[in-house]
Amino acid sequence: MSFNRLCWEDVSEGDSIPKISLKLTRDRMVMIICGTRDIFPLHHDDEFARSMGYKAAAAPIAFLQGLLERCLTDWTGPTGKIRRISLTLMAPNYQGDTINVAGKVTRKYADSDNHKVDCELTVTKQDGTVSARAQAVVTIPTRG
Amino acid sequence: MEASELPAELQKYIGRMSGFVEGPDEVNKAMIRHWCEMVEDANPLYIDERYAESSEYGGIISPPAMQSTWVYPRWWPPVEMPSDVGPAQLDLPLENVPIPAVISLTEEYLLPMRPGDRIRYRTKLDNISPLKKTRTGEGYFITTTNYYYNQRDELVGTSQYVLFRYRIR
Repeated sequence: MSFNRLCWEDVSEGDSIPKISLKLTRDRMVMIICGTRDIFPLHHDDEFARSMGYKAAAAPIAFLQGLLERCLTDWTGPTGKIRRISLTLMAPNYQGDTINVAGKVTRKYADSDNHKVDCELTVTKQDGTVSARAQAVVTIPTRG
Repeated sequence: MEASELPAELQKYIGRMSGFVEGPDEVNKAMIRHWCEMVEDANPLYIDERYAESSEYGGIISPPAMQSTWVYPRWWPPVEMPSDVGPAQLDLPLENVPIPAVISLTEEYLLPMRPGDRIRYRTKLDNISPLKKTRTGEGYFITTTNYYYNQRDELVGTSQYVLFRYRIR
């Protein structure tokens, strides 16, 4: 496999972070439990989820965290380091939904020992519903 | 009750720090791969042994957001979790607002976690809001921070949760 190797010199404020998409098939819902170990019934039991005000079982936050990480390091490549992610949840993600993550660079700066970018990411569903908004801080190596 | 006041019986919990809880398994490649399968994350630091060995880390590392998975309690044999650890804060006297909903989460990642590391954590109860009415229901916003450490007592990361404990109006 080949990977991006994004360098700090090549990033500008306003740059787009390419979109990734994943469909929440039933298999995926099971893989999410395997990946996160989160068996809280909200994530697999429709009846329980409805008793909590949801339409059906909903994917856990850790799934979104994994998707946000992937969106960022697909873009930077493995030499980008995620330092911080802050996310606000806005709508649940149900089986059958297609989840998209995309973003942009909002700030580029250097502090004492790192070259950093601030990013804004938006998680949307197939109908445009915003599922979550996130801000991230990523360090990116300089060229050479 | 006025929206601006927090009952003294809740106020007294603010600032408390739980004891430590250790994850059931050490950081390991199999669980890292299961996480990567979940979101189809091809970052070679997580799943490509050869690439990872040639990297600055000298081997596979864990996706940073797995910090909460490393301390997720085992499913069997049954294990009793202290009620003051994690965002749920189950021992708070909030029987009248039974439904928990995570509103936001902020994580900081300070050090890499590697296969063989043992992750443990403790939770600080940062704040409880006064009773609030929202579109969803009425209840309290509870802010907690998990602090994750490795076996060398190094802080590897933090997660700050804002959870709404509410009842449907």
